Amino acid sequence: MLRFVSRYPVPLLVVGALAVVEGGLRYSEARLSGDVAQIEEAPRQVRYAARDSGAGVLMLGNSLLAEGVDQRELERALEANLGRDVSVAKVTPDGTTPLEWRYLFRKLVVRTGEKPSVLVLAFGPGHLWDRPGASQVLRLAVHHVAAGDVGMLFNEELTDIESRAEFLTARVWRSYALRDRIQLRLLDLVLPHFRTERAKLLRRPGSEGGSHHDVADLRNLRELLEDAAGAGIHVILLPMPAPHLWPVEGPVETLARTLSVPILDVRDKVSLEPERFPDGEHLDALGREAFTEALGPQLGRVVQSVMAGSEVPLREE
Amino acid sequence: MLLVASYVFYGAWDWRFLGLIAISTIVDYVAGLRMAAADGATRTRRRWLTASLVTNLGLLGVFKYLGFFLESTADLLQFLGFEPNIPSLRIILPVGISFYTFQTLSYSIDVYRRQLEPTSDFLDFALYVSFFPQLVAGPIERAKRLLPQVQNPRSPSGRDLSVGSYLVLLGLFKKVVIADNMAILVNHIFSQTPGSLSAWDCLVGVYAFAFQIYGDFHGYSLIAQGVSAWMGFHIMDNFRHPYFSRSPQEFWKRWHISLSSWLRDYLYIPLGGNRRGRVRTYVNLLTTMLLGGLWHGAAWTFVVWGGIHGGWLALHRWISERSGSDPAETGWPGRMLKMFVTFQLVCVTWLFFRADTVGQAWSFMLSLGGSWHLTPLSEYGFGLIGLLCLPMVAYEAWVERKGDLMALVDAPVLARAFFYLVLLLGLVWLSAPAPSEFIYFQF
Repeated sequence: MLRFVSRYPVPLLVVGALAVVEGGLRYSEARLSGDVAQIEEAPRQVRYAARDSGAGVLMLGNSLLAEGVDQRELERALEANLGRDVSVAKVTPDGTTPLEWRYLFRKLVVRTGEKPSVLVLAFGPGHLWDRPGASQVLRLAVHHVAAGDVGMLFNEELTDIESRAEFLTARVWRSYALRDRIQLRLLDLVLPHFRTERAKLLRRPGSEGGSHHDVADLRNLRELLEDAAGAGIHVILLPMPAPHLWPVEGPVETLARTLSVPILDVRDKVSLEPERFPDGEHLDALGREAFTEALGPQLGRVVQSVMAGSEVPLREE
Repeated sequence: MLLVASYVFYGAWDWRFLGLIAISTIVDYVAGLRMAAADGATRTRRRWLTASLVTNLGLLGVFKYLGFFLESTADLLQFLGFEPNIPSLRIILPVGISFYTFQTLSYSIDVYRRQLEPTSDFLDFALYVSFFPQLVAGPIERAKRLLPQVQNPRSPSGRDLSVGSYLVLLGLFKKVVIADNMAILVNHIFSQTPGSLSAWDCLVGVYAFAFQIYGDFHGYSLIAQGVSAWMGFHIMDNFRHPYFSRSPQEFWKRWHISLSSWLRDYLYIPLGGNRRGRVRTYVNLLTTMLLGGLWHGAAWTFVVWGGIHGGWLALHRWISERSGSDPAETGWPGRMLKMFVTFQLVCVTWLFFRADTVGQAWSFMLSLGGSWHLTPLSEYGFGLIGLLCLPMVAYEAWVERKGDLMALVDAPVLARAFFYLVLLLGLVWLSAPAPSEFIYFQF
């Protein structure tokens, strides 16, 4: 052993230092990013929504939902509306779409058997489309995919050797898996205008223009809806407000109709001026309050109907 | 085994072009043996050398330059008022063709000059031509150096392994962290209309490209050297901190050394070098650099780039001759100033190298005379260059001071471990979000 150490001191020192860095990162991961802390909180949220007493509503989405709905206020509104105990839980990892939601749902709900009564999928414009090549391999590896679903992910999403290698590396090496977050933190600290300029530089020419999609581009959403139906969970689609009213795309409506999933659109029930979106995308506190207030009774009505097994209009406005 | 690996490596890109490398190999192998067999028969030797030159330069001409010359001829005829009916060709450029044709040509020329004994082992020669680590982007190895290593048994030593690891790691860092991050900045700036950029933005684009091309090409060369070292091969150094040069002559002794020494030995000196008078020397320098520029790519931007370097070399030589001393020889403030000026002039030439057209390069030059106000882009760009490139420059200054490119391999254990840790974490945490292809693959 001593001979080995004296013969290869440099590789051993490097590996040792990498191990220390790895340990440090695993220990302080949640402090590195609010998003990580939130994802780590997700299993507790799902358990809360799956409590035996009363109705459980699990809301799944991204930062639009995180900033756009007040969980406790909504819970109170639903309880008042339904006249029973209600548990509202929110799982909102940043920048996610149905691909991540689907694997997260399988990991936290299907595989654990912790089932809420209703699943609300909150989405913004263009969020429901599959994005080939844009899937967040690193986050899928660490947070969203259960070990038993890795094969499925490889067959359906990560079909090339490069992305599979990236996934597996991220799965075992946290320093690698967190590199985007570390880079963001590090460069944001030292480089002026890092976020805005980097986003500008990485924008591909023509990417601003809308592209044509059809139902085939909603594969992950369809799978998620089918998984939920298979688990006996009612699903509601919830378009989130934006500074300008955006239409729910035709193929999304078609898929929802095919699978009998109601779309609950309450955006016209509340007046949200552009000032309520200080960053041009997410609601501020006042906007969140107003939207939650408008959502409560409407969601209560739909939740009551779906749980009673009665017919719900597919387009609730 | 290595030969099969090399052919599989090349064929993985496009198996159809394996035929080209095979043709070059067979022709030069046969030419080498026939020239040696002809011994005193100069005409026979010359005939076989011509066969080698025609074959290799012919392949290069057809696959790399034919489309460009036809297009340029059509443009010229149109300019003169004719209506040319010249078809435009879309020929795929076989990757690495410029490198392996020059490598195999050097073999034939050396055998013709009786500076090298030809090999009778075809497989050894085929491996010399197609050796995979340096096949697609050099260094352009001479047979005198690489062929004996192919022919003799090799057993990589412990030092080969540690030198190889150092080179591969440093090469990856230069490519993935420096070059690819700079590429994102450069691609954005060069896709804008120069009028929409401030002078600082343009300057960021030019400096970023200077570090991109250095990181990209030096990175590849280091990886090629490192992988070769793991197998017991010793490949030549292709770069020696070129941005520390204090004159154009010195720059070309430090930048892409395998090409500049090839051009010196097989073009500049045969043209007469500096032996036929002052004017002829300048003409030879200009001719060599123009052809060197054209070697890089079939476009006028490369010709202009080569021309500027040729003109600069000639001018510097003229000044040196008039002043009677080497202008690079001064005290340290003078040396620093010369280093600074040389780097700025090299950057000006990079503008032509990177631009899509000569017109675009010129517009960027004019933009430098425009509005000098810092924009978010230029602040970000300078910040990124400072963060990623300056530490590398400082490291190279330390190596330069030590006078040994492998100084780190012999540094104390803790220093080495720290350096490798920084490189590894840099590779993981600072790699560019979007990788880009090696620039020299297109040549």
